[in-house]
Amino acid sequence: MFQRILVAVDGYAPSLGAAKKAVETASRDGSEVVVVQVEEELPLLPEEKNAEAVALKGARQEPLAAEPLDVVAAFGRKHGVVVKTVKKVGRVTATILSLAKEVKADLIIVGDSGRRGLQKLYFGSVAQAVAEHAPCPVLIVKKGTVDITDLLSALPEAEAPAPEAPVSPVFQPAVFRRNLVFAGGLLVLYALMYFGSALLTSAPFKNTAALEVFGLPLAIWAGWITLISGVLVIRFFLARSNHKGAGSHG
Amino acid sequence: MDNPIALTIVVLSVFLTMYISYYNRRYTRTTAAFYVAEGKIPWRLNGAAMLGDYCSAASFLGVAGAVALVGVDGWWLALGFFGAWIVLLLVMAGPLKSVGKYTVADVLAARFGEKAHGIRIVAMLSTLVLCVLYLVPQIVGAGHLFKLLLGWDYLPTVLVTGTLMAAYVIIGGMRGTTYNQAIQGVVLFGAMILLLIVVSITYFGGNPLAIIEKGQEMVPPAVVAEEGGAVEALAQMEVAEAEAAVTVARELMADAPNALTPGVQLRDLLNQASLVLGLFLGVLGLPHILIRFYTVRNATAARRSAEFTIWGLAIFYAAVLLVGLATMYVLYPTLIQLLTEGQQGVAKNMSLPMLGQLLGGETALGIIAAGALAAMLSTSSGLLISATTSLAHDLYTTVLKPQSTDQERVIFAKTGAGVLAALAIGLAIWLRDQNVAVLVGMCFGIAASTFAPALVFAVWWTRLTSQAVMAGMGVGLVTSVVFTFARFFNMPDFLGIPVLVNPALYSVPVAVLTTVLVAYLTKDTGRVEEFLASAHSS
Repeated sequence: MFQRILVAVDGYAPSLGAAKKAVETASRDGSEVVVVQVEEELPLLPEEKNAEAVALKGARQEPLAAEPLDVVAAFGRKHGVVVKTVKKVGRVTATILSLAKEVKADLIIVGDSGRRGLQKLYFGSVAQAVAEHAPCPVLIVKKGTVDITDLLSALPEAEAPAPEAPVSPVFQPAVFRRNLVFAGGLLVLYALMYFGSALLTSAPFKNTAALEVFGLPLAIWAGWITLISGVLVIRFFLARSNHKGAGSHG
Repeated sequence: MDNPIALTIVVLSVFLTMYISYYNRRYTRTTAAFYVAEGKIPWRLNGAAMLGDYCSAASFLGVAGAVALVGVDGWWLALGFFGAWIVLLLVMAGPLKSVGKYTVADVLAARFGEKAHGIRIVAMLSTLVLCVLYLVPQIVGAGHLFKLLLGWDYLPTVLVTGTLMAAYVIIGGMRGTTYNQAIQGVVLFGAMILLLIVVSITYFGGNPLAIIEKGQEMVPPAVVAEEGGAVEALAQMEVAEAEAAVTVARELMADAPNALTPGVQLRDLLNQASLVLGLFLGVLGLPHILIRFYTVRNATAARRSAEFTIWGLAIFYAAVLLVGLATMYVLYPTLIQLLTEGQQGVAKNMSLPMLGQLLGGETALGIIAAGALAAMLSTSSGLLISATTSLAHDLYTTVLKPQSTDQERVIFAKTGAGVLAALAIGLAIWLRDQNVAVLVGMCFGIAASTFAPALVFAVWWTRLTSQAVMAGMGVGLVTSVVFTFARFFNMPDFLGIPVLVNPALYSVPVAVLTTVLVAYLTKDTGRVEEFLASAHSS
């Protein structure tokens, strides 16, 4: 009946209920399941993100599955269903919809968290938005309507991927010195310009600063130059840092 | 109530900002529109929020006010704020991004270990001092602003607005801060550019450079106010007679400096050096501003938002000079009268709203006031949030009561925030006549003497020890606070040392020397290789 089912998960109960329905339907119809987890890209402060996460969680406890994609894949294997997992970063609804088009899904299944009141005003409902704009039929699994115990136990402890050992970087004195010389050099250059212009505008040098150059006192030029050279120094610095491989600067 | 329309605009704007930040959050979650250039919106939003964080009420009201009173000397506050941003990007941004720690205590703990309680306590004290003193200019600004809008006296106004601001932050929490700050950045930037355009067209024939020419004619109001004869001649003049007033002042004081003459009445070499040094290094010690730089995902987005901000700041601070000079001209007699009637606080901080009122009536006054208030609210929430984080984390959980529950921690933090806000309101009553940009400059000076050396040495110097951090921060804190308060008490000197407009010239070298000296005498360099490796991985 359905060729390819797209289901979106986030680790919480309603979305896992949706995933269970997807696998069950696929197992009956012989369809393929694409399961996607979207991480939102938001330029928020750490504390702000924390407050958001607490609010998003609402009455719900910790996420039921830390790696929902693995859980759904394991559950699919158990039922003999082909499950393709996708991890994306971007806007939640838009990403789900564009993926649906990309994989030519003919059914989208999403969970509905049942958020109400101010929380709904603030976060909106992804399920609603997906249903509104989807190019294909949408099935919404309401909170608490599907028992997901068997899905959660689908991933045996042994199968859980071992946490990767953190790779500690090695101290490279040469890199350290190169960074020091580069950033320090630009800083000294800019500091000379900055303090030069600044002291020029103090009382002892006011006659020099008042000299007219192209119709304006030198002090005004010194200010403009401080601004423009700042922009140039930073453009140069960012371009170079970005260029320098790992790109962690910048 | 003096300005009902303006007041309505201000109140509506507060609600509108709250609504937009709510709407925006829902929109990004539920919009079906997909942008090919992923990350496009985040970096723009982030750039605007950076701008909003940085162009606080001090930049907006204080710098323009300073330029309007003393001329080009006042511009150095703005250039200092700008220069500080450059230093921040060059010296700290890269290493801190690599380390992945964004607060002072976290960075220092990453190098010297979580057990370094002494460092944590000194860092917390510095955070609290900085937060309270940085809150003062926000409250002073708000007090004068609502005094202008409501027509009440300063004292009740500052009590009411200060309390409301604190309540807004403590009760409201911090969701939607980023959107608020982005909106505020755009509003402030737009207001400044709009003021420049409108004032150029109305008074200078559409040519902004004519403002500079006019500047060469004018005797700065701060200079006129000290000249009895000129004050008398101008005492009865109306705003509409600005041109005549400028001419009269010039005729009476033929040899006086003009608005473009540097070093007018303000700063000798030491004062200027101290101010620009404090500004130059200060932001390094305010890493909550840095956090913004890391809120976007990849290096390209981070770079784009930083460039967006740097251009925004350059244009904004260039425009401030012109708008300030134009304000001096347009409000010439009024500014002099305010100065001689003992209303320094109004003259120093409210010239921009007054210019708006003159150009666009109550509506324009309302829009400018709304922008300024948004700036004060978002800066205040940023400050109180960092202060409460520090109180709950560094003091309560680590030292006072390690077994506390989340609930207890939150109550402790909120009570603490209330006490800090009350302190700040008290100081704001006392310091009512200070220019808000100068007050912010002093906070920069304190930050430059405490966190700045500690952080810079931590990421760039292998020899730094934990004892040196503690000693350097402690000595820097004490020295800078003593000289800040000596200035507030108008003491000409302290123990024979002249008191300057900014503590930095004394406290920065003292802090740096102490740090270096103690570092050579002690041994605990922390997990130096591990830490530096992560800080300089590319």
